Amino acid sequence: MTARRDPDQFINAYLEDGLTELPDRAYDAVRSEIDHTRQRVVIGPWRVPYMNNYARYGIAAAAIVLVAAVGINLWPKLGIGAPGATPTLSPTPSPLAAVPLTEGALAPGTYYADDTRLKNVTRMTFTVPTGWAAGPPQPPQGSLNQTPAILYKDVAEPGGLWLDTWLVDAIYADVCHWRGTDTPIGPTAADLATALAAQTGREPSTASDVTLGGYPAKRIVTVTPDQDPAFCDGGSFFTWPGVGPNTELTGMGANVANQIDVVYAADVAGKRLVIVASHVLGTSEQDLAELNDIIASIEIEP
Amino acid sequence: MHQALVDQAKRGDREAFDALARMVGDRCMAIAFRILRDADRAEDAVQAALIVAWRELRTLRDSDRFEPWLHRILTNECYAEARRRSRWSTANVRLLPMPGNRDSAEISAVNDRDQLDRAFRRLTIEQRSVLVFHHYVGLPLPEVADRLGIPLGTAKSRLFHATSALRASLDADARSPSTSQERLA
Repeated sequence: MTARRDPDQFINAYLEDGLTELPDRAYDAVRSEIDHTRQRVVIGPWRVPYMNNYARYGIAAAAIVLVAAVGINLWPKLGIGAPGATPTLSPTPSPLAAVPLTEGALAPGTYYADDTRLKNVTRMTFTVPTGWAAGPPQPPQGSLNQTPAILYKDVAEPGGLWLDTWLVDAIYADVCHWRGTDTPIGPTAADLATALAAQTGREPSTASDVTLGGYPAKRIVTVTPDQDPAFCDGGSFFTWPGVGPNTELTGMGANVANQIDVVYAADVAGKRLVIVASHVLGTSEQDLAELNDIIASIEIEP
Repeated sequence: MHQALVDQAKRGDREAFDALARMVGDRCMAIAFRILRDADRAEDAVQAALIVAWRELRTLRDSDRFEPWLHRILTNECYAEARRRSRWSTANVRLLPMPGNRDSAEISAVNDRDQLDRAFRRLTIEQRSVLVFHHYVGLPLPEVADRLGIPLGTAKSRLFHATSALRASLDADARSPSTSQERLA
């Protein structure tokens, strides 16, 4: 029999043996990729690293209150609240007076978008108050990133909110370990609501019936989990994949703990229009009210 | 040294990120290779991790935590890589007779290594990760748990089962002289 070394020593020696250099071609490939990949914009504060359960429950309660506040604020304006409820901020938009949406800071007024950011409808008109801005109509050439937000406000501040449109053909079954879990869904707003409610990795969404731009719609609220997404596939939570090439990188992702995404899915002339209104904790009531007013002002041309 | 580059890269400076990647790339490759035991897959995982790190860098609150943060992303990419390739990469191992002119100590050492290699490849990717961060990177278990984003108890359990499996493979080898004339292809 041969004299043997300590097993731990042997394991250490085994692990010491092997490659230790990344080839230059890998650095070149990374450089080439990041040259046309933009960094994700960070909105609001990141999670507190070590949070006790009381703090977690407190934040969860705050999120629920915030969601409830959004819902209460929005309900009457979408025609499902108490009769006689009157929108307070936005004037009724007139499509005739609308001007094309252009990138950058917006003067208060009524705008329309009819570019590549719109999905499944020809034109969308809405009224914005002071302080809002529009994203560029399309991503830079070669970018893998999702088309930028149509409207946003205060995204560089604690808090921040923005509005996007999406084409959704499939939903990830798990928002954290999402790779390989994309599942095709049917074409209606109800199909999307059902699929979102069944997602794992966060609290089930709640769906309600509303109208959007005069069309029947589902409103679904989702909250990004309060955990570091670095451990998730691709380092991000993802709700659904993008459509077309690079579906992984062009899907709807979220990385801010307790980010609240309010998904509006409307059935418009046999197609599904998906609008997502997002905000993070720290967003002011005034900003939320403005976002709700913008959504309430939407008019849709199929 | 890293922190200034991380701060620059967070502001969108691609040159800074490139420099940062070149400072940490070899270490990442070493870790990924030891988790995946495959150079091509390890390279893919490191590339993917660096690209994710660039895209998500602004979500990193503490710039001095860049490397632990990157290692967590890297581990996750290793998991993804292992899942992606597992369909065709399993059990692709042949046994060949070993040349007979080695002394018994040398045969035993090579044989131990091969036994260990086979045992290591049978571990789950999660167990391998704990082993690599603990034994190769040299982190204490609480830090391994933090870096992998798992509870300390889970890290302990994975390390215990992985180490037991590897020790058992060495013990089995010692009890079975016939296998000492075989090695991995």
